[in-house]
Amino acid sequence: MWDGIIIGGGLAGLLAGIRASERGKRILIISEGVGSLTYSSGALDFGDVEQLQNREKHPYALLGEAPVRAGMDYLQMLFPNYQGTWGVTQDLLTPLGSPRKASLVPSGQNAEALQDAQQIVLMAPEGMKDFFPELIKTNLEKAYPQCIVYIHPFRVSAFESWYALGKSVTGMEYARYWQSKPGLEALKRVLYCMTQIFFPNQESIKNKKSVIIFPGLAATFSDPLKEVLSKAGLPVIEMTSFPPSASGHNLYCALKQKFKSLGGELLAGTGVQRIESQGKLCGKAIVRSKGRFTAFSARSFILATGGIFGGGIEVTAEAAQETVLGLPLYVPAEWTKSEFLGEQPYARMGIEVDSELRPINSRDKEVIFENLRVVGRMLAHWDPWSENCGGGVSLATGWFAGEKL
Amino acid sequence: MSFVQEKAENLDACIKCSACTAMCPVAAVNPLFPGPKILGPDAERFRLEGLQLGTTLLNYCSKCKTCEITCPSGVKVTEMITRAQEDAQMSGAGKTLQLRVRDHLLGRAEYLGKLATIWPNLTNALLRVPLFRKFLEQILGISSEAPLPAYKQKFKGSGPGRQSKKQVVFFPGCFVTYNDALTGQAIIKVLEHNGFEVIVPPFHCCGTPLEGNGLVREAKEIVQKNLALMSPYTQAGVPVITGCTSCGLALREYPSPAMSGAEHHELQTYDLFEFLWELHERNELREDFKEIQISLGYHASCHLKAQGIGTPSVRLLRLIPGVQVVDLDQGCCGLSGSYGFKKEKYVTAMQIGNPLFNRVRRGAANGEFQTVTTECGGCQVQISHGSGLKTEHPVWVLMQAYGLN
Amino acid sequence: MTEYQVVIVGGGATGVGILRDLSMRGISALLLEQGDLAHGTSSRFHGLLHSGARYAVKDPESATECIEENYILKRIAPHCISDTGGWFVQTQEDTPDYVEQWIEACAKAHIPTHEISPSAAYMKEPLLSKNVLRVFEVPDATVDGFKIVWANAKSARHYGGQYKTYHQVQRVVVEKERVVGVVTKNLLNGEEFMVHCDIVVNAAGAWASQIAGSIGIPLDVICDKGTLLAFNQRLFQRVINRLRPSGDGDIFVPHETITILGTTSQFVASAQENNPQEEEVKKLLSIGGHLLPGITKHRVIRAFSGVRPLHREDHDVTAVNEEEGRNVSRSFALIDHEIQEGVQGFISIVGGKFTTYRLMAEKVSDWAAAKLGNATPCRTATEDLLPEIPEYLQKKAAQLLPCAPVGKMLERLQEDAESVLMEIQRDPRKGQMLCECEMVSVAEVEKAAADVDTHHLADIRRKTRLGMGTCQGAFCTYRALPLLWQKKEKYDALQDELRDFLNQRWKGIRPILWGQQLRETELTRAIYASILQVGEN
Repeated sequence: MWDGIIIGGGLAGLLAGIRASERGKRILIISEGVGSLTYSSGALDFGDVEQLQNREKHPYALLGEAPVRAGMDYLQMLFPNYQGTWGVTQDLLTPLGSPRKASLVPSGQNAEALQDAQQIVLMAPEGMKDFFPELIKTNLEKAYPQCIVYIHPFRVSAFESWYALGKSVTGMEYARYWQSKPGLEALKRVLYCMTQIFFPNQESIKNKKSVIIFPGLAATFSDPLKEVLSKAGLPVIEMTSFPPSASGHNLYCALKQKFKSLGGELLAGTGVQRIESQGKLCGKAIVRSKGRFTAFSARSFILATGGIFGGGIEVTAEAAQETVLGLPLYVPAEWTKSEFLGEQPYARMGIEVDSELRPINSRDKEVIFENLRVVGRMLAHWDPWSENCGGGVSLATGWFAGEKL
Repeated sequence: MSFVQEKAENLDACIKCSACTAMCPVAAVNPLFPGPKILGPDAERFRLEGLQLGTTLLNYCSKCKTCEITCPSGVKVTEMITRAQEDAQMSGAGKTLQLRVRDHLLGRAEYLGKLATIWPNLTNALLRVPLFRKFLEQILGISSEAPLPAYKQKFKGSGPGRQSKKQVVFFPGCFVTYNDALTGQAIIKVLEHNGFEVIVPPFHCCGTPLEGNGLVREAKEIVQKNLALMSPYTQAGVPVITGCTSCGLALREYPSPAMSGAEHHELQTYDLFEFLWELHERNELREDFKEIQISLGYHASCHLKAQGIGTPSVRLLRLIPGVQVVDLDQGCCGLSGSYGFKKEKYVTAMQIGNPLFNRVRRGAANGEFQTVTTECGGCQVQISHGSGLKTEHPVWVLMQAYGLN
Repeated sequence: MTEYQVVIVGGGATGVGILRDLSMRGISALLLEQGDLAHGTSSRFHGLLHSGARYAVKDPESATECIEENYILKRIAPHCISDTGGWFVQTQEDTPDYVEQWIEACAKAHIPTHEISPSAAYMKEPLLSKNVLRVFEVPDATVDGFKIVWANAKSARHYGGQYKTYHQVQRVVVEKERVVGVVTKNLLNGEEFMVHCDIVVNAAGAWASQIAGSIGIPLDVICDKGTLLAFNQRLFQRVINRLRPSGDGDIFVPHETITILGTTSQFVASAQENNPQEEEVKKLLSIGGHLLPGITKHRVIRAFSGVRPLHREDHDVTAVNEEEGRNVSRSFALIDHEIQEGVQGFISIVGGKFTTYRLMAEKVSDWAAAKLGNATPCRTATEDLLPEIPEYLQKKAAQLLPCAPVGKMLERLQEDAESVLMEIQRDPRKGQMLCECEMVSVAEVEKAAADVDTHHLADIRRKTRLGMGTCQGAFCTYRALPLLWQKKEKYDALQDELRDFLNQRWKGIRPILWGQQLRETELTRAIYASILQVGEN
């Protein structure tokens, strides 16, 4: 018998698992995939918390400010290299080199140094997939007109056979390489060569008006890597990446590792077919193991199945349903709008909950299951993309559910 | 739902996120390999038009199923690639004569085993002769450096004895039968210690090496033979237990007896520790463990992960007082059955396993753990070969805890 | 040059067919198209090369035309056609009387039919409904509209013909009751200028009445909107028709990697009304489900609509009415405006179907040639549209791109194939796939982006299939950006190109937003709104 079973191992699910395990609970996370962190930039958006808190039924409104702050503080406590101040957003770079903001940013991605810079060296690893240095240079020049941007192409012998075949090297492959032993050595050489070209006399480094932008690099969770970069003598700014993203994936791995080190078990690669319940209590998760079903019992459950993308909500031509328990869904009357990147009502579909994140009946607001909480994308009445609060809601609700389990 | 319909729906599920390719251990080290997305769902839409794409590259897939475990949409990528290999084989594309002969040989683990265990010492001696290994490499394409496992005295099964209330059937698998009879005997001892009579019918190979080498028809035949041997017991509700996780995955994917004409009943197959854990949940497991002060590094084999049952051996071993288990979580060991024995794949296999070998060496060097344990025979051989550290089946820890060795 | 013998208005199949035919006869001709070639009806149709069996009962003349053209096109343009064959399938809901009628009518029209047993049918098409009573094979095939249009255009150029895209004809110019030219506007730079000619051919399809209207001639073109669904994969290997009086939603057409189900019919006010609606989608699914059980479980990647330009008389059973100067075939009408309205040198061609484009072009070219005193006979029925792709190129392509459907790439590129392959050989990185769903290489997209008549991302899409696959542009839109940027003089600001393209794709996804396509949409929104932050700026 587990203390808690969390269905869904994405950001919200893992955070809940970590907090609950920290509190001494025996937790099992069952996850079909790797969640959506691998596609994310690695930076976490909280959005305009004040404004969203006043939006009726928004998760921020249901929880109140404290858990949202707690979510932010908790992640920083877990990973001190994730930095953010309440109410303040930081600068970082999109994969196209244009500026953007986020609330909680891995330190390597913080692009503040660009504000005062006069010179930018854009590192351009040979053959990197989905990386367009010329375009990035143009966007950087537009955003930081006081800067001169130099593109510094370089090769690495470890990938020579890729280059010869014309096979692109993904950002994730480069990022992984830099963290390896030979990669660290290679990085030292690459940085050295670069400084010889652009900063032949040490003085120009000391004036600190130059910045290096380095795509395909995610140093946040690697101390040896951070050390090598610090020796460069100049700020090194990571770029966020087109999916799949090394930074996002690293955050996922760090969360997973933390969870396991606290004694939690992660059953990945398979899904929960259904949860057996009696009255208002959920009892067993029936898991679709290969060839058979396996049952796991728990005192408490957390539904973190990721909404439409995660498979927690299945929408057919006729109807929409919540896949694990068949919980009632809030479905907006209007479905779409013509401006693709604007507001899209369907995205607010989800499960309505009380202030304890327990699923409720929309008519009489009665709690449907007392030992089940819903977190993350499964909640109704919010949209990570038009509200820019994906990270915030996941952290806040995940922390809250882990705290209350 | 018909098979064709299921296939079609499964292909439709792919949302092209590339997470599978980002996690593929082969694609990470071998630039020739396009990756599971391209060879799987991308190419599949063209295969439906009769086009056979990348036939020479399909064989680089190691069938580790990391793609399937990673996929957020449940796409059966490895299955698609395997089917494509079958089709390519039938139309004669893909392999040279030499490789076809070799794969015919390596696929027949059972026959090789029978042959080799006629005089195991001679076989092992021969396999240690460098000239002979070079000869094998030249003529058959079997890498001269590959860690071909040593053969031991053949494992002997036993038929049903006195009528006992609690019976189980043990499926030893080729590794136990021909290379590691002692582990088979240990498994039997542990089950007997818990009051079970263990029956071992003269099972054949589970079929995985045959399928892995493209001998699909032979694999299907051998499956039927095994089912026939199992059926008198499974009809009586006797569970089938195996200690090898690849056999475990194969058995879980065996067609339900209803499809082979017998009366419909569910095939009860279990991984050893999955079975023991269920006994523990029912309070039927003997937990008179001796204390063992040991820290173990645990490697979850790819085929265990693909079974979707979590890591039951970790859970169970942690019940033993004094035992600490460190989940290594370093991906695939690289061997993938006979994949890493092949001349053209040996280096790839070692590169894939490199992060795991390094992790093992590091952990052993800094005292984090004393030995490494994993259920898969292939992984045991590969990890020992790559890291120099002895790697054993976790049942040995249990044997020690029961005081049986 | 602004003086030609003939100006053709409209760059759909008919227009380019006429351009080629005239050029082959040595007549100087210029084609003006307001958008990209084939951006009208010719890129929004079913993709079916009719055997004519569908019209055998109700319109035997049209049926005969179809089967003849079917054979001709298969001979002259095999690279644009996939000879899948087709079936007519009678289900339990369909009346047996019609079946007998149909068999007889096909025989009369010389359309070969061959009955096979339902069990044999299921072996070949396992997804077909089991409620099938009788199955007949017919020589239906599938045709790639873009390929044929481009092939005609390129061939026409080869013979001296010219075409300009993004040139909208503002009005026809008439002096003393004869045509002297047209005024056209270059939509890219706003420049207006006059082109002098002796003859104007109005092949503007759904816009034909506007062209005729520019000199006060009423032309009764009915805009008939038809909506189609594109399924994510090839569900059938051949065309599947319902064996019943022609109605909505009764044909499945396998097309490259997808399957197209169509169609509907609804009169609309203008050619601009080509937004697929949810009711149309639901209707198609409900009817299509009779042939494909469990249809709603199969992923639809988009819905799209085309507007058919029908001539009003198509709706009455026709009689050839020589007096009114209308050479009316059941399927299309040539209207010589000299006879009716007294304007010399102006002809409109209305109606018709894609399958008979070449015949329509022949008839128009015959008329024009006669007017110009040119006696060169028509050769389009016998001369290959495209040269065969040489063996050595096929081998080279297979060797350079072992994991890509190179045959398709070569067919799309035609005479540009060699230079693209050489580019890949020179820089293997250009052999990487830019659009991974439809397997379109970087080199090919680069080539299309640099083409003189490519002005928008959608033009690249039509030429290469970029964004037409499963992900509907989620990934390849981003990857195309640097290529557009390299030629930025030709394109709008990247942000605008990107947003326009995504909105265009969105138009076709909104009415089918469920299942896996909904999940895909969420991923796409995450990429562009959050990671790339395109929405904000």
